[in-house]
Parts: sequence; C-alpha cells; structure tokens
Amino acid sequence: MTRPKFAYRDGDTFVHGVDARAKLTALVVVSLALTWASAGVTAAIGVVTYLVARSAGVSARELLRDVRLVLVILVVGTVARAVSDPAGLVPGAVAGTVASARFVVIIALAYTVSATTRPGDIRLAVESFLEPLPSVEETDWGTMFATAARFFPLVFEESRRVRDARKARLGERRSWYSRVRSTAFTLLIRTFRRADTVALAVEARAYSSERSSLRGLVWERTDTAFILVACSVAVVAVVV
Amino acid sequence: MIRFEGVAHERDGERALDGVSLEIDSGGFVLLLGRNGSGKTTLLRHMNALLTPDEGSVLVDGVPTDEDGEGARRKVGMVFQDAGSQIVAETVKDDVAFGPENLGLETDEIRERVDEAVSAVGATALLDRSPYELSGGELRRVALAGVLAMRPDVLALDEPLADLDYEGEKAVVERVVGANQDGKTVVVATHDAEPFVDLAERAVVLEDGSVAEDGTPDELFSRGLEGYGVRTPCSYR
Repeated sequence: MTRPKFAYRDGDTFVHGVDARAKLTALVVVSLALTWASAGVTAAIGVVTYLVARSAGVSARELLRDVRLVLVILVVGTVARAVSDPAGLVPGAVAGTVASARFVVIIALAYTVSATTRPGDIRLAVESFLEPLPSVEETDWGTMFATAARFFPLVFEESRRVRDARKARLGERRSWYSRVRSTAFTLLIRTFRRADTVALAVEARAYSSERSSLRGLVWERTDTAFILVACSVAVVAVVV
Repeated sequence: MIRFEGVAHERDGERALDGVSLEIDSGGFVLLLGRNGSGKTTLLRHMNALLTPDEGSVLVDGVPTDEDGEGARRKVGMVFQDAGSQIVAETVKDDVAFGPENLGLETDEIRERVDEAVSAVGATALLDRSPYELSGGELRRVALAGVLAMRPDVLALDEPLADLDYEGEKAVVERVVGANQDGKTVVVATHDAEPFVDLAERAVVLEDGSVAEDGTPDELFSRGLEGYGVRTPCSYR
C-alpha cells in the first residue's frame, strides 16, 4: 500500500518530538495571525515554515505534489480576484496573490503537523484541551478528531485508486469533464463506504468513551519554547 | 454460547437473514459456508452486535445483543474480510492497542496484551510500522492481533484467508487453531473450507439467508456442497 497524502510518517526529528498540544496550538495561533499578515511577513513565515517542514523530513516537492489541486483552486481564485477587483487588474492580482500565499502557508503548516503527529496524539491533545469544559465528552471529541486525521489520508488513497482504475482502462483518453465527473462520483460513493467501514471497525472493537490510552503526552520545556516562538511569530505578523 | 432465535435481518429491502435459528457452543469450531451474498457476513456481524435483528434475537451468553451490544463486542472479536479497512491507527502498536484501550485497561496491561497478541501472530517485527507499509498478509495478521489483544471468548473471522499467500495462510490457520485449543470459540465464514475442514467440528451452510445444512464437515462434504457454491475439499473428491 502506498502512503497516502497527509498521513503520519514515523520519524525522530525535533518537530516529531514536540508535544501534539504545542503543535496544534502553534498551528492555530500562527494561522489566525496570518490572516492579518502583510505580504512581506507572509513570505517570511512561509520561509520559516519551509525550513520547519524540511527539518521534519517533508520536502517542498512532495508538499506541492500532494496539494496541487488546492493550488490550482487558489490560482483560479487569484485570477478571479484580479479580473473582478474594482481597484483594477494589478491591485486585484496582488491582493489575490497575497491571500492565496497565506492559504499556502497555512496548508504547509497543517501538512507538516499532520505528517509529524500521530492521530492518537492528536486525540490526546484534543481531549486535554476540552477536559476543563463542563458537559463536553472530551473522549468522543478526541476520537472524532483522531479518526478524521486517520480518515483524511484514506480519502486521498481512494482518489488514487479511482484514478489508477481509470488509467488502467485508457480513461485518460476521455475529456477532462468526463474524467472529473466519473472520478468525483466514484470517489464520493467510495468515501462514504470507507467512512462506514472505519466506523464499523471502531465499533466492532468495543469503542467506549471510558477508554484508556497506551500512550501519554509529556510536556517538556522545549514545548513551552516552541509555543513561545509561535506566539512571537504571531505577534510580529499582527503588529508589523 | 451464542444463540440465534428466528433471526431475520433486512437489507436494502431484501432479507439478508431469514429465520435463522442456531446455537454455537463454547469452545466449538464452526465453519459458516455458502456462496457470496448467502448471509455469512451478516450472521457474523450479528454475533458482534454490529447489526441487531429486525426479528428474533441473538443471545451472547444469554444476553440479547440489542440490549447489551458493548458486552457482545467484548466477548466476540470480529476480523473483517477486508483486513486493511479494520486498521484504525497509524502504527501496528497503536492499532493493536485500540481494543484494550476501549476496555479501559491500565497502560501496563495494554502493553502486555499488545506484545502477547503481536507475538502470537508473528508480527513483533512490525510493531512500529505504519499500516501503509504492510502487505495484505501482514495486514490480516495485524487485524487478528488487534482482536486477540481484547481476549474475547469468541473469534468471528470473515474470510480470514482471502488474498493470503501460503506462508500467511499457514500463520493465520496456526493462530486460529491455537486460539481454539486455548478454549476460544471459533466461527469462520468462508467459501473455501479446504484449510479448515480437518479442524472444524461443525459446518453450517447458508443459502439465501437461511440455514440450508448443518452437520459435521464429514457428513456435509461426503454429500457434496457444490449446489450451495461451496468447493469440495480435495480429501472428499
């Protein structure tokens, strides 16, 4: 089986070692800050993100390959913004490019977090975030996030299988519209079926909200430092 | 013991099970035979309470599955036909631990069960591997380990040898036999009885959701089951 996009990859890099709570917090804080960031700051955060991803074993090439569909959508969005902006073509293109660049950086951050964080650790992190809240079943929410983190790559895997099945029977000779239509329809059906199977698999093994855990999260000083750096980046992004 | 009392189950407007009455004794080794769509998988899912009857009842140790589904799942461990789809975690270790975690066990106990289960299926070397890196045979062994780690009384296996090579088939059969010798009830749904025919003490043939034949493998295969879409094992030809 080929490793699907966005799936966790085992490793012992610094980013792998950072506590899931720290990584998720940093992701949220920096992503929010990016919505205020100027073009220059967005570029700077993009460079930092690239370096962090690289140190975690995620190459720019595989990132671009895995999110190319999103990039196409962003390019289309940028062009649409440029031609429809009342301020004119160039200001519209610049604004669209900056907005798209923010999205790209956020996607790269999320990709790096998902590639270096076990879904089980995401579950524990979500549980610990929700634990103080009254009348919230933190175990159920944690499992929901972890299952989503596990399921997301499976959708890409299904998409690859559908494409391979199409190619194997010379489906590439069909029109672009016909290919997209057949892939989207088949993928939708298979995704729902896969979701159903994952839910059954969880249920078959006596899923309980009273569950315990093999692993635990351990907060270390490096995690605090990681959060502080992320918050500093966010403050700079908002202020500059 | 598992008892089916007049169980009917409707799926997409058709009766997947139709008036099934059956008793499976503790410690037994039962083969569920029949062609594709005969109701084998549906029957297994009722044992694990993934499905509950539209009519009749399924009792696991005297308790109806529609009253205590979780209890049934603790007692009956099910391995799906598509083992890959049963893997819910990102490493073999985490996946095998998933069931024991659901039982709310202490960390040391979970660790012990994980080690024991992966060792039982010969998958210790795979412990830290991602499921995406495993072959079909390895995935099936990991899926079996995930169920064994819960230490159920009953193993319900859906086509457990599908897509396995000789080595993989041998490993799974050995583990299933070992579990049965340890006192676990084993129910195997298959359309190919060959590897299990000398091990099972009973065979139940399903046809259109009903029990068509019930007896020892010897009795049934001597008569031949080709009419039910079941290949006759070599030793009976």
